[in-house]
Amino acid sequence: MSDLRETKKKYEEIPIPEELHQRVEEAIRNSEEKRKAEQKIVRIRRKKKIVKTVAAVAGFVVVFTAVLNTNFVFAREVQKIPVIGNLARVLTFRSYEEEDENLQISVEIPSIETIEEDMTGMTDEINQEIYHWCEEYANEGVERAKQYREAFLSTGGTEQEWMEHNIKITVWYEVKASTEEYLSLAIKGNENWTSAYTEDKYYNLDLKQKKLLSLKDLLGENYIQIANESIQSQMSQRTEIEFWEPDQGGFTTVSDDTKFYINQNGNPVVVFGRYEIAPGSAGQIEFEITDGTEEKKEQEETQEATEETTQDITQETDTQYEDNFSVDSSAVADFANEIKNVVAAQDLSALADLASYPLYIGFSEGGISVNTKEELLELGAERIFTPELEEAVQATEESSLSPSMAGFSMTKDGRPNVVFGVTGGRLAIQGINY
Amino acid sequence: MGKKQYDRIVNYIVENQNKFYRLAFSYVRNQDDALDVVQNAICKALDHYTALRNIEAVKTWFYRIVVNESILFLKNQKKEYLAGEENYADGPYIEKKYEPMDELFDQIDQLDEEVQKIIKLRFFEELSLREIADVVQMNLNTVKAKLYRGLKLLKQNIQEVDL
Repeated sequence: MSDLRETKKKYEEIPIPEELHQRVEEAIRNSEEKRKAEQKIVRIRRKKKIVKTVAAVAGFVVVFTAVLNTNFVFAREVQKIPVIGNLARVLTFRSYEEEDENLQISVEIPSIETIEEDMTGMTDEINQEIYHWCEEYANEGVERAKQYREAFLSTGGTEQEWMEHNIKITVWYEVKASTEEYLSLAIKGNENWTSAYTEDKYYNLDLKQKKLLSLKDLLGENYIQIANESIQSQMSQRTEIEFWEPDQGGFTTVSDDTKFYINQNGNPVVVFGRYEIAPGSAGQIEFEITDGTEEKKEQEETQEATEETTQDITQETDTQYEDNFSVDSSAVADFANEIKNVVAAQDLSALADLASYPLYIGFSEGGISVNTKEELLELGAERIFTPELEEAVQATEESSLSPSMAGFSMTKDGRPNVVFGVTGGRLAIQGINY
Repeated sequence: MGKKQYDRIVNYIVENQNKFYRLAFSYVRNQDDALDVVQNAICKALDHYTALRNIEAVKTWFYRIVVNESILFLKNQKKEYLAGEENYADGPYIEKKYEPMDELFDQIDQLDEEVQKIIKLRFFEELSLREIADVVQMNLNTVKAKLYRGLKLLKQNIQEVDL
C-alpha cells in the first residue's frame, strides 16, 4: 500500500489540460458581463492635492485606474432622451479605485474603448477627444458636487447625511450627425442632486480639417443675421412657450458662444438651455436654422394647412384643449350630458365613440383595458350599463363638475364612476369604474 | 469593497487555477468534469463575491466553493445516473471515463465526506488545520479528531506523515 506521500505525488502529477485556462477566463468574463450589466455606478475619487487647513476632514486623494470595458448597454432608464439620429447609449465606464471615503461622489463616463468600438471609422485622435470632453464634463460636475458638498457641510450637514445623498454624475454622448465631412456630438450629463437639470455641450467637428466648426462656418458671413431672423420667426410661431422679452433676459442675438449642433439634414440647430431665454418649464429650446428657401417652403405649407383647418372651425370637436383645466365648463357640462344620454339609452356603441383608447374598465372582479371600440362592444351593454353605474351617472350635476389632473369624474358616492378628460386635445371617456 | 476586492479575487483564482483543478479532479476523476466543476465554482464565487467579508480569507473561501461544487457535481451525476436508468431511449449511455489513481487515492474517495475533505485539503493542498477548519466550517478540535480518524482508517502510520 502506498503511503500518503506517494499518493500526493500522484496528485500533483494530475495533468492540467490546456483548456483549463480558457475555461477560467470564460467564467471570469461571464461574471464580469453580469456585473457590468447590473452595476451602474462605481465610486470614483479624484486625485487632487488640496490641503485643507480646516481640521478634521482629511484631504481626498483619488487614483484613476483604467479598467478595460468592452461592452456597452443600450437604453438609459434614468432619463428620457430624445432619439435623434443615433440612439443615445449608456456606455460602460471607467472605474476608479478608491483611496479616500470622504468625497462620496460617483461618476460614470464612457470609456475610451467603448467610444472606439462605437465610433467606427473615427480616428484615435477623435475618440480621444470625445473621451476628453466627457472627462471635462465629468470634472465640472465633480466640481459642482464638491461645492455643493462644502455648502452642505458648512451649514450643519453631517458626513453621514452627505453619504445618503448618493451623489451621482453620469455622462454620456449622443451623435447628432455623422458624415464623411463632419461629426456633431452632444455631451450630456446628469447630476442627480440638481433635480434632472442637465446642460448639454456640443462639439461640431470638421473631420477633414480637424477643427471645430462654428456657426459662421456653417451659415457664412451673415450668420448672425440669418440665425437671428430664423430664431425670431420661430419664436413667434411657438406660441406655447412664453419667451422672455429681451429686457427680461430673453433672446437678443446669437454669438460665437451660442451652442449648436448639426442635425441629420446638415443644418445647425441652435440650443438654449433651461432658463436661458424662457421659463424653465420650457426646458431646453432648439431652433433649426435653415437657409431662406427651406423656411419659405415651410411657411407656405403651414399656410395651406391653416387654410384647411379654418373650414373645420365650426365643428366643436376640433377645439384643442391642452389639459383638463383649460376646458370651459359649458363644454364639460355638454360632454357630461352626452354621456348621460348615452347611458340612459344603454347605447354601447355611442359610448364607445365617446371614449379614448386604451380605455380602462375597472370591474369589481378585476380591471381590464380595452384597446378598440370593438373590444368594448364585445363586453356587452349589460356588463357596462349596470344599474349602479346608471344611477351614478344620472346623479351627477354636470354643471358642477370640477377639473382635476385625473379628469372629470361623474359619480354619486365615488364608485361606480365614469371618468373623462382631455385626451389628444379633446374630451373623451378615459375610464369606467365599478 | 467593490472593484478592488473583485480584482483580487480574480487574481487569486487565476494564479491558483491548477490547484483547484486538481482538487476537483480528485473528486470527479475525469478531465471534462473537473473543468466543469472549476468553471462552476468560479462563476459561483464571482457572482457572490460580496459574500466574502475579508479579502484575506479568499483562499479558504474559494476552496470551500470548489469542494462544495465538486461534491454537488457528483451528487447530481448520481441523480442523473439513477434517473437515466429508465430512459434507454435517450441513446447510448456513454461511460464516463474514470481515471485510475493509486489504491490509497481510491480509498480516500471512500471516506465519508467530511473526513475526505479534511484529508485532501491537508495532504494534497497542504492547508493548515486552521484553514481547513474554516473551509469545512468546524472547530479546530473536531477537525483534528476527524483527521486522525481518517488516517486510522487509511491505516497510515501517523508518525510517518508529519502533522
